[in-house]
Amino acid sequence: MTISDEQLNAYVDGELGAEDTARVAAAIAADHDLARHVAEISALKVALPQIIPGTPDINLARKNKGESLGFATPSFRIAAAAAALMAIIVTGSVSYTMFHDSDLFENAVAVHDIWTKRNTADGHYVRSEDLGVFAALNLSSAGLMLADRADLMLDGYQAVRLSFIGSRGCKVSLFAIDGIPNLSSNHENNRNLRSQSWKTEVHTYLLLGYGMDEARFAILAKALSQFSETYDPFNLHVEQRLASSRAESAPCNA
Amino acid sequence: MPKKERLEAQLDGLFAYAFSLSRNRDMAKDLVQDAAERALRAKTVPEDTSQYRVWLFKVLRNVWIDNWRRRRFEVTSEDIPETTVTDTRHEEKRVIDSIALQRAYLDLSEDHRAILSLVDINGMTYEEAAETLSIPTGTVMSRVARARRILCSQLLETDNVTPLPLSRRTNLGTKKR
Repeated sequence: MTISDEQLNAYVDGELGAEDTARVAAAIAADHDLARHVAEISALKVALPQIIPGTPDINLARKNKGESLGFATPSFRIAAAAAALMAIIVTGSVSYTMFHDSDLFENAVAVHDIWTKRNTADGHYVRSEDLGVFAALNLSSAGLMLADRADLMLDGYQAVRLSFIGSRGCKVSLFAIDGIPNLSSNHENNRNLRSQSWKTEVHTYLLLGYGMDEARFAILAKALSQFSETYDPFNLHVEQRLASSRAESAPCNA
Repeated sequence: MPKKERLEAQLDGLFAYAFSLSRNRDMAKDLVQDAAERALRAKTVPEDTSQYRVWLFKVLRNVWIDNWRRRRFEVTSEDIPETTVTDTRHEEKRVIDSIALQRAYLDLSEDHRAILSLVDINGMTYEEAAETLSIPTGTVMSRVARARRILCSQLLETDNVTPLPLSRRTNLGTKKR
């Protein structure tokens, strides 16, 4: 009688029919090695569930709309663009508000601060394939070049940071947050900090930067909020507004 | 049962599967979170409990393939639980060093981790596992056997562990009487 390893494992797993089960059981009873091997398989089967860490708290209410901001694959880009388009269809437009809330905002500011204190002019290379839905985002008309991209968690929310640096000292970070948290902050004590946020149905965006002319910052935020609706490149009108607002404003480090 | 409660009942199993795929606790949590959100958004879900579970695990697997697989983490020490597993199921008391077992398990290929997660950790039938992974039942059968064989051999090669009483047969597949 020949018992294959597959059959022996299936026997332990209770996957054999009655006839085969009886046949394997008889073989095991008559063969010490076979019996020992069945014991080994059974021991593994019992032990394996114990090696998995305990399940952490999964907050199902945290975010129930939208995709992860993984941005890693073309399929996700399509899904995210579709989600954004759906948001526009449903809501008519993205909501666009000044932004004021606590921990998440403060964390984002801290992340931006850390980035600005690094040597941001070291030519950090951002791979185009890592940009996902932001591949078409080009702020060169605003005098800003993409300098860094990072995945991060902000107060429990998955997010992506895109940081831009300008030729006149401006440094701004765009946070794309996977979810729709309630935001507020008390950053009025730092008048030099500019911040603006907006939401689609599935994502929250936050733009941060220090020292930028208020009107220029507002135009930049408006352009980015429009971009977040479709992820399409800016049209000529937007490009011109970004360029003129830069030309008309003082440098960020003035 | 409400959609959310049905899902909550499966979270432990989903997390175990996510951990098996990602080999990282934090990443597994995010993976479950993403899969749960996708599941909650679904307009139709299977009514049958078994089919629902298979469907959920397929959702998680799809999320893993779509968004996460390229960003897998290395296993870190925080992923290793400091526990010892004692199995008194058989006549001989067996003590398995769970750290060694976990390392051996996490060293398996993704296919082998996945199949053992479904069958051994989540208790799926071969048919359910086959449906979850979109492979034939026969492939599940052979993959389970091969995964366990590799796991056993890796444990045998571990020196600093109280071993399972494994035999060193080179061919476990065929025994003639």
